[in-house]
Amino acid sequence: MPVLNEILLIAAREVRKNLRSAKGLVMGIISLLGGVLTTLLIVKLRAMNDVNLPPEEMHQLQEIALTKKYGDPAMGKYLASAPPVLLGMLVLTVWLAPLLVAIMGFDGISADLQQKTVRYWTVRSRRASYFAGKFFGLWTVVASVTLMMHVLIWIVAVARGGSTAADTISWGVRFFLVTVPISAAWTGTALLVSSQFRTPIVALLVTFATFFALWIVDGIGEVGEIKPLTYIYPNTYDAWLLSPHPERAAVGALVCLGMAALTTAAGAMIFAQRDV
Amino acid sequence: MAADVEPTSAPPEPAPAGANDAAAPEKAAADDAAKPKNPAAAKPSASKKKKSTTEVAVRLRGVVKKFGSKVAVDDVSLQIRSGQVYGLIGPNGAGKTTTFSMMAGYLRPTNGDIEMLGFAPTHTDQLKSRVGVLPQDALLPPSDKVGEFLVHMARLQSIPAEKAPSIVRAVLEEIEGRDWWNVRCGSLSHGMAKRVQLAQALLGDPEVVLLDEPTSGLDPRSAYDVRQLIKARKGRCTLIVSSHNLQELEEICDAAAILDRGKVVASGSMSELTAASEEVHVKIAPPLRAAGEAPYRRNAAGLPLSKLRELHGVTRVEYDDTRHEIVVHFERGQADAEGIIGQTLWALLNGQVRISGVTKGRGLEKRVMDLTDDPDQD
Repeated sequence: MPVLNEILLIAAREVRKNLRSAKGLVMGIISLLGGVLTTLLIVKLRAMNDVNLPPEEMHQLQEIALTKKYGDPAMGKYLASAPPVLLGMLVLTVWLAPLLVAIMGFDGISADLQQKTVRYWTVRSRRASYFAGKFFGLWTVVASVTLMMHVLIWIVAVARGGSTAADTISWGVRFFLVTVPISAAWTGTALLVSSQFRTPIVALLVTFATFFALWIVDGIGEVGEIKPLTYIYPNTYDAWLLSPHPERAAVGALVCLGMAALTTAAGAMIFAQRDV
Repeated sequence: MAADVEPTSAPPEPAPAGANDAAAPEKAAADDAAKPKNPAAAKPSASKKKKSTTEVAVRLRGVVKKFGSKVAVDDVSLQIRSGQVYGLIGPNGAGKTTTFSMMAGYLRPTNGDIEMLGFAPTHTDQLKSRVGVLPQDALLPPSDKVGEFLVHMARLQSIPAEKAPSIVRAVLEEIEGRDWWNVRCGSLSHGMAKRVQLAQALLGDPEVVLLDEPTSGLDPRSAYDVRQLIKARKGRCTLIVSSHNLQELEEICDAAAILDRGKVVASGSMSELTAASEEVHVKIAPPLRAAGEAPYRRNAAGLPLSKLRELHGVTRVEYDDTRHEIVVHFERGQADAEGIIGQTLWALLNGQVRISGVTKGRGLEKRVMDLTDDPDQD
C-alpha cells in the first residue's frame, strides 16, 4: 500500500476519533462558547465605540493601532478595512492555537504508547505513516475547531449588519486561512514533544512547558529586539501571512509549513527507531 | 523510506555454539538454499502477494536485548519452520515476551538479527498481511466499534475497501463474535476483547501468526474456545505461541523452545522435549488392603523390574518410590513407545501390579521444571 494511502487512512481515523471523543466534544463546545463570548465582547466594545466615534475616525484609529501592532503602515491600511469583529477573532484564535493543539494532541501518540494500542498499527503501517497520519489528523481537527469558531463570528457579523456577507466571507476565509499554517507548526511541535512520553499527563505538561519556553524566547526577541529569536515562535508569522504582499504571505506560509514538516519528520524518525 | 523496502541482507551464519545449538536445528544449509539468494532483488509487491516458499518462517540469530544494564534476552538463536505450531516456554522473566516483541518488531534487538519470512520485522511494508500478531497486553482502542476497528486494520493490510467488511465479518464469525460489529471495544469483556484481538491477528489469513499468551486471564470455557481456534489454524500457517500454560502448549505445539533467564535452555520437537520417544512412565497404585490393615508403601522389591530390563530396546528401568512411578528408558529406533508400553503393562499385570496411569515421556511441565531455575532459590 502506498505511503499516502496509509497516511490518509490513519489521519481519517484520527479525525473520527477526535471529533467524537469526549475530549473532542468538550473542546468543540468550549471553542463554540469561547467564540460566542468573544463575539459578544467584541460586539459590545464595538457598539460602545460606535456611540463615541464617527466611522471615519474609527477607521483611522484602527489603522493606527494595526500599524503599531504589525509595524507596517501598508499592513495597517490594508487591515483597517477588515471587519474588526473578524480581526478580533483572528487574533484570539492565533493566540489560542498552541493551547488548542496541546489539549487536542497531547495524548494522540502517548496514550497509544501507554496502552500499547500502537502495536496494532506498527505491524500494519510504516511507523512514519502512523506518525504523519497522526499529524494530519490532529491538524485537521484543530483547523476544523478553528473554522467553527470563525464561522460563528461570520454569522454574527452578517446578522449584525456590520459588514456585507461578501465582505465577511472574503475577510473571514482569509483570516481562517492565516490560522491554518500556524496551527500546522504548533501541531508538528506538539506531536514531536508529546510522542517522547508514554504517560499522557507528562506529555501534556512537557508540551505546555515547551510552548511556554517558545513564548518566552519570542518575548525576549521582541523586547530585546533580537529578531531571529522571534522566528522560532509560530505565531510570529501571522503578520507575514496577513500581509497584503502575496510573496511575504507565501514566505510566512512556507516557513510555518516547513516548521511543521521538520518537526513531523524529526518525530517520525525518532518514533521509527524507538521500542513500542 | 528506502530502509523500509530493503530485505535483510545479512549473510547466513552458522548457528552459535552452546546451549542454543539445540535451538538451531541442523537444517541451516537446506534453509539457506530455500532462502532468496539476493533478497534485495525481491520486489516488495511480488513478495507481498505470494505465500512464502521458504522452509524457515522465522529465524533469530544471536539475538540480544538489553534494557539498560539488564539483559532480557541473551544470544537467542531459533529457527521456526513454516507450518509449525511453535511454543515459547518459560517462567516469568524468562524473556518470552521480549523475544516475541522483537519478532513482532515492537522492540529492536540490541544485537543479532531476526528474519520474518526473509525480512527484518521492521519492514512492515513487506510483512503486513503476511504476519499477524496478538500482543499480550495491548488494549483495543476503547472508542472504536469492533467492526470499524477491524475494517481499519484490514484496510491498512491493503485489503480493498469493498472486500474489507466481508473479510471482517468472516473472521468475526470464526471467533464467534458475529454480533459484535457495533459494540465499542471499550465495553467488551476480557474474553471478548481477547477474541477481537485474535481476530485482528488472523485478518487476511497471514502466513505467520504470533500469539502472546492467547488464553491468559480467560475462563476455562473461553480458553478452550481460543485453543480450538488456534488448532483450526494449524496447518494453514506458522503459529508461534508464547504461554505459561504448559498443558496448553503440549496440546497444540509441534515444537518449542524453553527459555530461562533470557537464554534458550532447550528446544526441539515436542516429543524430543518431553522424551516421549525415549521413555515411558507408569504410575503404580498401591495394592488392595483389607480393612484395618496398615498403609502399604510399595518398594522396588515387589516389582518385576528385572523383567522390564530384559525387554528389547530397554536401556534402563528406574523406580521412584516417592512418586510411585516406574520409568522405562529405551533406545529410540530399537523400540517404539507404544510397543514398550504394551510389553511393560503385560509384565506388570502378570506380576499382580496395579496400574493407575501411563504416559509417554516425562511431560512438558516436568521437563520445564527440570530445566528452569526456581527464582526463589536465588
